[in-house]
Amino acid sequence: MMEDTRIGLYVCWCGTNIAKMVDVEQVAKELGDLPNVVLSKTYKYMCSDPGQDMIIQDIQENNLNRVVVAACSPRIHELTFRRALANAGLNPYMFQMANIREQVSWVHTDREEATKKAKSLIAGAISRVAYHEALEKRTVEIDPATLILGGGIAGMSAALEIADAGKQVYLVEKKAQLGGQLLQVDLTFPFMYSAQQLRQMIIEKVVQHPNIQVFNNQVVEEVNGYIGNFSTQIKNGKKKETELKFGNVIVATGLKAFDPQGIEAYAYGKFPNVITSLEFEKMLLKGKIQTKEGKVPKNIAIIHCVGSRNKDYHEYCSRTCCMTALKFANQLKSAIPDSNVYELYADMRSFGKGCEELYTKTSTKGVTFLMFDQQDKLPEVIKAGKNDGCEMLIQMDEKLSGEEVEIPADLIVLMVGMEAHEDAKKTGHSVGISLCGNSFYIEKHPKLDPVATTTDGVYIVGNCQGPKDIPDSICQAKAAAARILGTINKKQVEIEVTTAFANEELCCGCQTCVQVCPYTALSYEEEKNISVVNEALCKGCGTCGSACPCGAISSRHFTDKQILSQIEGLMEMILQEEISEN
Amino acid sequence: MRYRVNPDLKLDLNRFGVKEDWQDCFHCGNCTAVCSLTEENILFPRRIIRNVQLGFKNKLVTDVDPWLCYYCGECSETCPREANPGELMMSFRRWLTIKYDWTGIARLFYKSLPAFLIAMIVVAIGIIVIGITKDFKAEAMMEFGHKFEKYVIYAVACLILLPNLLRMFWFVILKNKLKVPVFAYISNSLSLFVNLFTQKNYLKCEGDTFRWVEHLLIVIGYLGLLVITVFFNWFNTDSETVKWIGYIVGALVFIFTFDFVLKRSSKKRESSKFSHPSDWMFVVWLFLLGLTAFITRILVDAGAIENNLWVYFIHLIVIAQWGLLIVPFGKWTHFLYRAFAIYFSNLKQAALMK
Amino acid sequence: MSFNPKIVSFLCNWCSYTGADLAGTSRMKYASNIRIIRVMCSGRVEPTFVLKAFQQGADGVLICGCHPGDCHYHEGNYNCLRRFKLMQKFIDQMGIEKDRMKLKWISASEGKDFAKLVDQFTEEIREFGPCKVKEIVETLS
Repeated sequence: MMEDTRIGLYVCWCGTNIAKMVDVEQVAKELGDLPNVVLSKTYKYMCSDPGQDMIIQDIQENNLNRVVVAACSPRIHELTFRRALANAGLNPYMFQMANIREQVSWVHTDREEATKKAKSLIAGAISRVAYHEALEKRTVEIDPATLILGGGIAGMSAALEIADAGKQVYLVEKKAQLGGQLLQVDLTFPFMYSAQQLRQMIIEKVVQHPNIQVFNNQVVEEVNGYIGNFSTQIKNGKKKETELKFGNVIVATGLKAFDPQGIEAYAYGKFPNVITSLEFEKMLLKGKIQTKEGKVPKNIAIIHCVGSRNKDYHEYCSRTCCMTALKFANQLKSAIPDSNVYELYADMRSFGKGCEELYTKTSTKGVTFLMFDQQDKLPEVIKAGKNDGCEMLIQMDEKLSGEEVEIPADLIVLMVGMEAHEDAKKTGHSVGISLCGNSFYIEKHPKLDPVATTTDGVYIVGNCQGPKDIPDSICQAKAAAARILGTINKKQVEIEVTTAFANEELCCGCQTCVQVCPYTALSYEEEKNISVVNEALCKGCGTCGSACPCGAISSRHFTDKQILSQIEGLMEMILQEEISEN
Repeated sequence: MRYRVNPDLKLDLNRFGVKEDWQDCFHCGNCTAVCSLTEENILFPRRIIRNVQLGFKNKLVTDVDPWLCYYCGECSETCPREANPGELMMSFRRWLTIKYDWTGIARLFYKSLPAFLIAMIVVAIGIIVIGITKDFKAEAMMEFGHKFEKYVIYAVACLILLPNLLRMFWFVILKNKLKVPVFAYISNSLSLFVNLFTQKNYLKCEGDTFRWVEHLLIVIGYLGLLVITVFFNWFNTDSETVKWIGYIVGALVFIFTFDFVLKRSSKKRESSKFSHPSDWMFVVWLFLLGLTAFITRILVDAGAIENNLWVYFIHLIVIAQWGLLIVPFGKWTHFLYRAFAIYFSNLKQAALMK
Repeated sequence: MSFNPKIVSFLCNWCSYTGADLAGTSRMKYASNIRIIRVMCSGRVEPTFVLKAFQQGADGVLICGCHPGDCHYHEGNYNCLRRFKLMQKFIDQMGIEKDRMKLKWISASEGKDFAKLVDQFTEEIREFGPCKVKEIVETLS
């Protein structure tokens, strides 16, 4: 230590929350005698303004250079006290908290034991804080351009929002045409707007927008960099590569339809007139509903939840199929009024604006609804006999009547669910975001931050985050656009301080750290035979530090020395207590 | 047994009065929960709505439960989808009567109001023709009328009602392959008669004692009038007792049916919100029957029947239409089927218990 | 005097430390033998930390991280798991029972499980009796 270590210790009562179970006065008195502790106080509420003012005043008057507060969980008030330190002119990282409320007073019942435990935790903190180092805030400039992966409705909506605000957008689409899933849809539920009209309207705007550069037939292999300073090369086959630089990324890569071939009971591929919902949409787009033999079907069965809500396929609900199926029933009834339409469903999920109304409306149109049990037994498609007057029969256990029933069918539409693209993992890896168990991308927080990811500057919108309908996708797209415009507006962004750093002298060039880093923050520099940390990418998990065989890498604010001294401090206190007892 | 789903039944049923509201049903089960008749094995109306929605004709025709319902209307009031389950049950009973009827005439009348009206007119013309042949003489007419009533009763009972009841028995018991112990047929026969005359199950449907009393008085009045005119020749009797009993039962019929007509037209009650032509025909004709009989006897007492024969003439037309059309093919049969339904239902329970 | 186990515990900041906080805010009661040290990720737990704890006289070491697939840093907990297996072998060779260290996944919502785990682990260590490493090291030096 260059200068004297002068630690101020503050023990909080937290009203009676701590004081009732921990003898705070005794703790403050005894620990005040530890080396380097120049001052030790208790106060009713350390987090209150007078509590913080007390710290600030003591720092200035007693020349404290380190502070320990024993109070609640650092997850609650660590930032509060760091701010107080900063206000007193001290580096905010010269601070350590001991959690004597959530980990002591609230969970233990013996006052003596609790007081002992509090003492050892605080001793650990005191011993640790002595090794704390001042860390400086870091900011990076934001490149105002944005890369959007995927030219579906979500990607295009986000692009327009950002471009309209005057910022550059690079819109990369894997296919030859913009539009994504909308290309395959006739009418949209529940209000029966034409998907093609919607698509054309939005595509026209996107293509003509001066701030949007569209790259059709192109894919992104690898995105390098960090928030504010990403770069990538996009490829058109193997021919041409374009280098792009941008500050934020929106992933809007969408979904793919479930392939029903694996479900034997539905005989998809076996009977030509068992088709998927997408194939049926194609018929609707052409305006001609007919069987493979070219006949107008009399009995049409629509089977819901194909590949969704079933433990054998996907456990989640695909959220749009029920409504699409009701839309089909309406379209069928108006195209072939004397047809019999059967909806075979597991549960009718008609949430959202206008959707329950669509269900009610459909139920009065002479559509027959039959309920099956997903877990028990799926409906089975079989060939009809000669006298059945139809081509196929569906046998099922109908849940609401409790009877075994058979349904005549000339055309069977399978409402296939949504699933993630096969290359979702690859795409995710290229931008540094991860997948949940169902291969959809994970959001930063499922409730509070549903469009951001744990990688700063990378956002997920639309169906790549989970199944959703058009309005939900657009909402997410515009939310992500707003977030991005916000960071662009600030021009610079603060990044993580508690990152790893490598000591070149100690590094042996083994590259163990490069392998364990989940953020590609570590790279190998061949010339010097060392690993280098890109601090902008590092999130400070510390895995590299613990993997490093030569101790060349340490994690700021969680250095070996800091943690070892914390262990030492708290263990010594326990032993000391034991000795004094005997 | 696997049942074929058949949406045609829905279309068929629309001809029996019910609106398509019941298709809104999404099987929450509230109707079954509020129904005071619900027991472990009787889960209507929901179960019946489901069977109708899926069109299990073969299964439905063997179902006796709909007859147990007296249309208190609570299910329709409770239904969150306003699917009117009570009205579906009512229409379904009409559908069952045409299934029981071997002649097919009931089906024709339910499906086509014009056909029914033509039949009514034909019967009226028939009576007029007979009147012409009798020269509109009071004595001859009344003698004819008295015989006519008797023969119509025997003929309708033997040719239509009995075979239809046997068909009902076949559907409900034999087709379901129920093995009913012989003893059960006898032990339950008493309750059959009690139910036939009192329709006491009506009381199970909560809070409706007055409606039941009214109903009971009409049944007493109607059966009394039938017995007193057919077997005691009320119009021509000299017995003071018979005469006054006749007045009382006649009055019971037209007074309470008048109240029924008023209630049906006010549409306040759930069960009278939707009236099929057959419902109207039933109460109005019963009212006319009682009223014309009552006036006829007054005229006889006053010695003025000769000059006012038209009153008896109308009575005769009403009687003929009633006896030939409404009783065998109309709503009157409900009275019979209900009582037998309870009987068959008891037999069914006995068979299942065994 | 009865044996009172001394347990040092390393909890990851995102799941397990939050889970322990939840046990506190829910006022669940558990044995007071545990001393928790916060690390950002269970992947940060180095063998040195564990050895240091035993050297300083700990009788048991408990490591908690996010459930597989839930790691805030994607896969730190997997790294921890691999390292943990090695560490167990290592302390075993040093004469410390390998079950004196334990690795468990505790999510932010599993306060109850955390309390139960602490009680259970405390009992397990109580059965082992005091860890003699500190005394041996001291006599040797």
